[in-house]
Amino acid sequence: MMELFAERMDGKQAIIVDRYLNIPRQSSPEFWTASRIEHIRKLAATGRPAFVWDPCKSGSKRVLDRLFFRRELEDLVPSADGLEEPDGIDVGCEVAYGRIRMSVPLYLGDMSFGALSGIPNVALARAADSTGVLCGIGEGGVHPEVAKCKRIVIQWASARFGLDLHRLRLGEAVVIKIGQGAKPGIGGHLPGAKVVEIISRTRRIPVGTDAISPAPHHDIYSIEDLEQRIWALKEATGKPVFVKVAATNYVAYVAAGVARMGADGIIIDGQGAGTGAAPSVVRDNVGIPIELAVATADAMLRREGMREGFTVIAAGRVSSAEDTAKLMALGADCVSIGTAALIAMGCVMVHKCHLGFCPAVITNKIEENPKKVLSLEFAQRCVENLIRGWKGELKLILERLGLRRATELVGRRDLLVGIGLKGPTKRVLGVEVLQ
Amino acid sequence: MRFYSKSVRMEGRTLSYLRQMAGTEGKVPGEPPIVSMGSTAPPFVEEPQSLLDHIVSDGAQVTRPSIDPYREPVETFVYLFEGDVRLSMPVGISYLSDLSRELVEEVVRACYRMGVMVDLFGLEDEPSSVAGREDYVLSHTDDLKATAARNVQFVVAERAELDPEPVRRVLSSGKRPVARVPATDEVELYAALASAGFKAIVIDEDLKSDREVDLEIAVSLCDRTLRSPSFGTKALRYTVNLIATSRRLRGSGDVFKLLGLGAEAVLLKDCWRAAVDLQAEKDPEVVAERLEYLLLGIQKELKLLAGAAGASSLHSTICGNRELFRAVEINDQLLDTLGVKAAGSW
Repeated sequence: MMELFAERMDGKQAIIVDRYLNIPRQSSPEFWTASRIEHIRKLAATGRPAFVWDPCKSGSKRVLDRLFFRRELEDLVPSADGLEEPDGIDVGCEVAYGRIRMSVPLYLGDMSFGALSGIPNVALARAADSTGVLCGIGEGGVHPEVAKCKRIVIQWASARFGLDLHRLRLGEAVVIKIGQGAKPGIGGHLPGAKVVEIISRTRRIPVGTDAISPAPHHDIYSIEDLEQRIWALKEATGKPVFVKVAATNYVAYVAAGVARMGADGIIIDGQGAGTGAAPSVVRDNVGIPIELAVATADAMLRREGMREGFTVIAAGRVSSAEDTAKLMALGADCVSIGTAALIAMGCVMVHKCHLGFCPAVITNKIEENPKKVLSLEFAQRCVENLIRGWKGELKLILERLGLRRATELVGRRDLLVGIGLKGPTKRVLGVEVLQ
Repeated sequence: MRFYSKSVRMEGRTLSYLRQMAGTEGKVPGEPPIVSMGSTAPPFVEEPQSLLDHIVSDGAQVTRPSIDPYREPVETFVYLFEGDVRLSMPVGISYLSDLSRELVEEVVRACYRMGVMVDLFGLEDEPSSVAGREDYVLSHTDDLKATAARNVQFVVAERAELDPEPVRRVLSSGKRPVARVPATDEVELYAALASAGFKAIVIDEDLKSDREVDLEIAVSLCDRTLRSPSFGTKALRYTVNLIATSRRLRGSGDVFKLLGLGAEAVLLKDCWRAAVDLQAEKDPEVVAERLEYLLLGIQKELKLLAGAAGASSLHSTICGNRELFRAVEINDQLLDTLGVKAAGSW
């Protein structure tokens, strides 16, 4: 399985990609604007914070971008000049969820081996190890190099690709994947064009065939079924078990059910989250934004007395430390980043992952004689720097908010204020709204 | 009062999506187009163009299971006229009025082959291909020469004070009586038509009225009116079909949401014409082939949406099931008007 890192089979050298492409002009509206990509690149290059309050939210239609920390509105000094040294600030970003300790509440979102072309999977897992965060491996089985990393989370999805008891125990935790934000209600999808020999062996499926996972787990048809699987996985692995769901219309009930059935936490993936391949009709018409889902799930869990000791991880369009802080204030314990980590490795958001010819060689089809390969060192360093820079910005935000620890921020909706939000949105978020 | 204009924009992402499905572009006709990375759909990235852009469908997550639309059956049939007509999917093709005779004949045949409705509203002559396919054809009394074969009689009504003569003529014709009305909030009109004995109401947003509302609102109001005992219409909803149409509809996402709001079938206008590229493609057989591919793709997409929402039948589980849907970025009053809950509410 080592051919991923080997020279080309024909003995010639592939081009090692260790720099960014120019950001193409975006001809249609995009959430990941050039300014968001540039910000992530800045963090990835320097490992240092670029600003306190995120200027990229200006003009965005997303609800989260129309929420502000009151402190920001009081901040008359533009944040760009004279950023404090984050190392010198006595603010703790560390969090712990049961036995799992993290240096910063960041989870590198579940991207599979197959959707990504191997080197990015290894870069993410190694970066999680070196920076003390977590990396979800997605549902494509465990890449042999990823298996050597410690801070990984093994995903148990509906197709059970490449899993056995040994592999289930490799990580810090197990995630039962019920759904994902980009295609709620339907299963994972790896186009046949990307199912090459090594993917075929890892997933144990024929070369060239679409890998379309079942929409439901065929042994989980109810919340009681889920309970049995949660406890079976806990007994089999001795690890905490999380459940990943898409943010959909009944997410509050789903969150309550997941908590009641004994899971250690829930990963809620919102509308607009990334994907390697999905039918456009599902991606564009199903699911609700993460900010609404987190707020409503948190409120339900509190009402039911199940919020203590239960971890809520928010995913979907998390683009900056400020997004992290706001989602925590709305009720998340931690956030998951996927697209942002890909951008740190060079993704330029051309939306071509499903075709297998990613210009940034992140989601490309794995070839025997590739013309270009992503530099593992470069990719790993960029993700590590992104996490450090992100942590720096989060520290600066916490310091401005007068908080000493990141955990103090969870559920502090009173620190937020919305601008121009409609009545129903305001009630779900539980924040004050200025018109 | 309208919230969004009726402007029609089949361009950019929407146009490319439609053309891929029809096989006018790309290499996988008849399949739901696959995309990657985060959505740019309205209302949070792109500008919303209609109330439909504020409505989201559900994806079942564990508390009830989704249905695997690739491997398990999801029924897309809908029954009209109290079970007399079974469509293969809740879709029809409309806006044929300016097409060549040859093209109309092929489109009628293509629709019949695919088991969907074809709406001849605005056509002056009845195409010969209608013969033997009448169950699938909606045609208009005043526009078409009377033929003995026609099964449906139409009347266009705008006011609750129905014009008695055409209504009597249609109702006594022995054919299935259908009324075509503008999208209006005049719920008395819907109640009057149902009480008079019409078997289907076509809400056509492109008809003019001085009490026009968005099609989404009209469909929801009509559905709820015919279910409401306060109009004395009792359970007439179960004997009257509700069909919605507008030039601005863009495909299966819009169809699915209109079903949720209360329609049993949705007639497509500009989107199929853009998908098959009527402007450039003049060969009727190529147009018919593309139309069939498009309908096949739409059917698969409807199955994806229904399966994702955990529904195994469009007709019995989606039609009028407003509870399954949620709205984003809409104020309280409009939520009430649509009869849909806000996203995130319990």
